[in-house]
Amino acid sequence: MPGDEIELASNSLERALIVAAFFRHQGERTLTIDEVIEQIREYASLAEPKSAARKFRRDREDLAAANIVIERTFDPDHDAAEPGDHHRYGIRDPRMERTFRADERAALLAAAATVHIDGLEEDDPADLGGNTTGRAAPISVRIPAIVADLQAPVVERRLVEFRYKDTLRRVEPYRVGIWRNAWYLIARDTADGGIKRWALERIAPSGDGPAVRVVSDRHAFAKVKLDYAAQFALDPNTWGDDPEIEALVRIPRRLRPAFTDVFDGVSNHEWVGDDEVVVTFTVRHLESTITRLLGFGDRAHVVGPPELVAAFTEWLEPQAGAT
Amino acid sequence: MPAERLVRKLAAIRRAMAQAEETGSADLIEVAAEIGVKAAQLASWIDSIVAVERRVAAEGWEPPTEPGLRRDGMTLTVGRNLLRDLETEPPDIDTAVRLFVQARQFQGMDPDATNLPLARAITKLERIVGQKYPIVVREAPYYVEVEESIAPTRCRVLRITYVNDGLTDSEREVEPVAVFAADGFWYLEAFDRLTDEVRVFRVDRIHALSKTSETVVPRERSHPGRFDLSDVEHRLTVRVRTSLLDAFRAFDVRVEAERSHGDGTVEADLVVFGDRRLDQLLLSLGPDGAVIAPTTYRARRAERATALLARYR
Repeated sequence: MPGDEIELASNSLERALIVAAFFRHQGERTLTIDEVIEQIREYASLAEPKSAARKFRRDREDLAAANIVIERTFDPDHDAAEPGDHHRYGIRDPRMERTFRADERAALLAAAATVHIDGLEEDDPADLGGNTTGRAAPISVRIPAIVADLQAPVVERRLVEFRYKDTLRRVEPYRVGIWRNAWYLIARDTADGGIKRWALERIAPSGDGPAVRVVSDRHAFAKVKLDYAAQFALDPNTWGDDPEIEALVRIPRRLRPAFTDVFDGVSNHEWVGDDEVVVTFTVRHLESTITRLLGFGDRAHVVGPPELVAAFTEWLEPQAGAT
Repeated sequence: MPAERLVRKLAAIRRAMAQAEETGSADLIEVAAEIGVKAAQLASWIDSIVAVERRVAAEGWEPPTEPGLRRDGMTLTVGRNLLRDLETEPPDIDTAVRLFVQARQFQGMDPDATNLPLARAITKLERIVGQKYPIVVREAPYYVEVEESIAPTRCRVLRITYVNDGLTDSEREVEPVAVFAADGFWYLEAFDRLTDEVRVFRVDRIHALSKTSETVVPRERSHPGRFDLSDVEHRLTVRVRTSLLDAFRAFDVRVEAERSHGDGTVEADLVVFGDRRLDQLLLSLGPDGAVIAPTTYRARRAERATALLARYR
């Protein structure tokens, strides 16, 4: 061992952390108990290997309680006839696939200092980014707390229950996502087997408990392969099944960006003078198209085709007399 | 040492080191008071970490790195956070979700597309939360120009053509104060020379922008983050087909309560902001929908429908 003048740990806190640092240094390499005792000075200095092994067991337990896990796996090469410890020891997540290296942490902290999340529960100051979020970050993003509530069941494939449109639903949760500013859950409804989009805003808060209740053990359903990008393409004219119509709508040119923000797949059909443009897009959901066109009031004029003009005016006519 | 005691010590050290790593330094007296330990005790535990760092270096377990922990009296600074480097457990799911949304949003705004550490961290977060996450704030055509106009000492005056929520446009000169995002949109906080007051403009509604040569000292930022929309709030109760209620969400109608009638219709208490969206909502109720309250909105609905129909006759 290099550096014989090296000072040994002066207390159990130091010793436990030295053990952790030793195993982090080993990376994917695992060691037998004899190797551990031989290579960690604090154990090697003890006269009795048995007491060193006991100390190592206690240090492992202490570290595990502090989120530093040294794993013990059965050693198949160990001679079963021989007495003693038949295990090998190594740090959990040796390649750091789920924990962050210093440069990754620095990048995350820069993000946390810039983007403030509003809506989730307050962070513990010891959590990564817990001291940066909540400060005067230039970006504020609101997230329904239920997003975080659903994430563990998504990862662990647990069934959940919630009240939705006055009915208790039991679903297999697959993914959480956003369309425009609204958050949705993609999940299979166990009542009819259908994979549906559930608006998180409409999951009713429960008076005396969480809005989302976990009702199964882990891995209660199989992994499902879906085209999630398509699942979150929520413009009704993407998924609607009304007969296709190519809409022609005249709008002021200055409202073209706002129009594109509301309707997907808009293209210019023809310019009308300097100030107006006729745009075109495919309608596959008539009702949602009409309600969205109404947001432009008298600034959007449906010019064709005749069936869309008729549908638009027939929508309005009964309302003109509805007092 | 019983595990609880070590855990308690590590929790205290972790808290102090996290603060020092994230904000530049930590005052051990403050941290000790917050967690209910003696400051001298916390300082001695911190010294144990310094000893471990020394040992790690002496053993050659890590290549020489930047200076680690430094305790100067009761002030702690952290060049590297040994405790976090040793952790083997990922952040809890709530923290991971938060970090993921922050990281994705930050990545979307970051002109440095080669931020590999951030990309690696995002891949790890994806593993932890089991899915990808979207960028939450939508792009705006003039975002870059707006951001570039703002500097700590001098801001460039902008001339903008702006479409307000009522779809009316105006040209104005504004003195930028800050750019920020909230609820999915970018906003420019600026002193508006047209109205002589500080206002907030949605960046995606700026449909023409030019930079003037004039610069001004930036005004103090108010950073509202949330907006008080109570002046333009409309509350109403309606009866509509259940399927329509979902369509209303596309134009920011808030459903406060809904009562199913069991015949495919629902009575719903709704909130909507601004006159334009109120009119849109009233007309979106459709031929078989009805306003239940307030009754004054029934006449408004009929009037708006009549006016709109007149354009088709």
